[in-house]
Amino acid sequence: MAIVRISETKEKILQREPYLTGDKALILTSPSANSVIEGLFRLELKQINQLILRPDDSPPPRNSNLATRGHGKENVQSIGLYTSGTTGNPELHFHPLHELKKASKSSHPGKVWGLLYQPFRMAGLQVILQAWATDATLVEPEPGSTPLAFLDEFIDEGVDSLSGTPSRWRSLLSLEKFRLLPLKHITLGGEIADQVILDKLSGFFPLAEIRHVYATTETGPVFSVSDRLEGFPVSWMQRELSSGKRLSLSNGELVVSNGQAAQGGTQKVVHTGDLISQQGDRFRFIGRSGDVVKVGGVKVSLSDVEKHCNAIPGVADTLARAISNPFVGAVIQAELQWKGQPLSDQEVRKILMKSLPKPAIPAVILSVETLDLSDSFKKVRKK
Amino acid sequence: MRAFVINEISEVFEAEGVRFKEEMLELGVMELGVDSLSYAVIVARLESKTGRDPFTEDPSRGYPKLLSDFVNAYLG
Repeated sequence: MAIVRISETKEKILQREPYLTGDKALILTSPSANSVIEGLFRLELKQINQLILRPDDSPPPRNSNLATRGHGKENVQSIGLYTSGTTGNPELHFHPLHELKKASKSSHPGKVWGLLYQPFRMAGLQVILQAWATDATLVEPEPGSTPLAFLDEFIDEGVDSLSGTPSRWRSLLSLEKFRLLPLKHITLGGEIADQVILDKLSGFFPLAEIRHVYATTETGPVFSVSDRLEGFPVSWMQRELSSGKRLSLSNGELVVSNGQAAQGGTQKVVHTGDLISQQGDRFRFIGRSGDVVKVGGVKVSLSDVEKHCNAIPGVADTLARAISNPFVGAVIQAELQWKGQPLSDQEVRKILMKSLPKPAIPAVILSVETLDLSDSFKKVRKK
Repeated sequence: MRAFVINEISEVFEAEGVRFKEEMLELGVMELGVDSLSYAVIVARLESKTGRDPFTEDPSRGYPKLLSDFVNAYLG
């Protein structure tokens, strides 16, 4: 357990840190939150203009990358992060510091943040930036420690702000002790935040501010929603958001572009792979384009199957996978993690039949102790 | 094994509102009022329980004609 008090660190760094003149990039391999904060101060002091955070297993950055991929301007201060590699080889992307900072406005000073992600992931970096920008205290668990091990420390340190994927929140909520945290600020990101998890969090932490953020490794933070409803308002489409990004729709897929084209900058357009559909005055996320599988010719969204399973009483979380099948191409397998007494397979199917079409009903239902999550706590659908 | 396969068939048929009877074994799989998705579900469940999927293991087997062909695939 490392406790980083940001303001102390700032003073320390200013006193002792020698200037690293001439350095273009500082590369930190599997860094701690503390070392990332030191890197951020070096950026601020212009000792470096690129801070690269790399996991152990990523390919080392080539020097040519550093000059050419930093948004074309060498003096743009940026942070390089690797994509998680769940959709291919990890790739290095640079995010201008000023854009990352936009998302970390100082609205809630004096908070105590718990760090649930590795510092070199976008989600972890956002928490570190938030704490850094607001002089908050950051509590970083030992790498690899279990929730039960770090929860006591979080409670002792009065952690009141946490950010996690919906999968992470569902697994934490299954621990009785977790509900003792005096949470005031709850952030969800990295996966679809559906109404079921938003309602559960509202129930356990009625006074907390609950928001779900939308960000991608390619674009950085895009928007944040705090009305406790899933999805986002239709009125946000096709206009510049406070993050400077613009949203549009292409064949049901959410597309994010930066608004710089109008100011003569280079426009970056990212097809996110996230599928949305309009219901009334709201767009809802219905899955990832790669999560849609065909079962006997019918398109089935694995995210949608998970959402319906998670609404079953006693289910803590679900992982839906497509398994290949000689007769219909693929069928659905659902792994259910129970927090209460498990229902029988027949009972589960009976409930699902009320809301899902037949091809989407899981052919195979497995009860599991824990779900397969990646190191950024997203569900791993492909084995 | 035969009883195991028949049991799985009965369960899936029942969910489709079809009551399994031994004499159905000599009927064509598509004459029984259950669709190919139901057979797909039976194959998937048997594979998760036994680790075996004879139709993928031996693609030359093709789609079973009679219900007994389906059962026999697991007995080979």
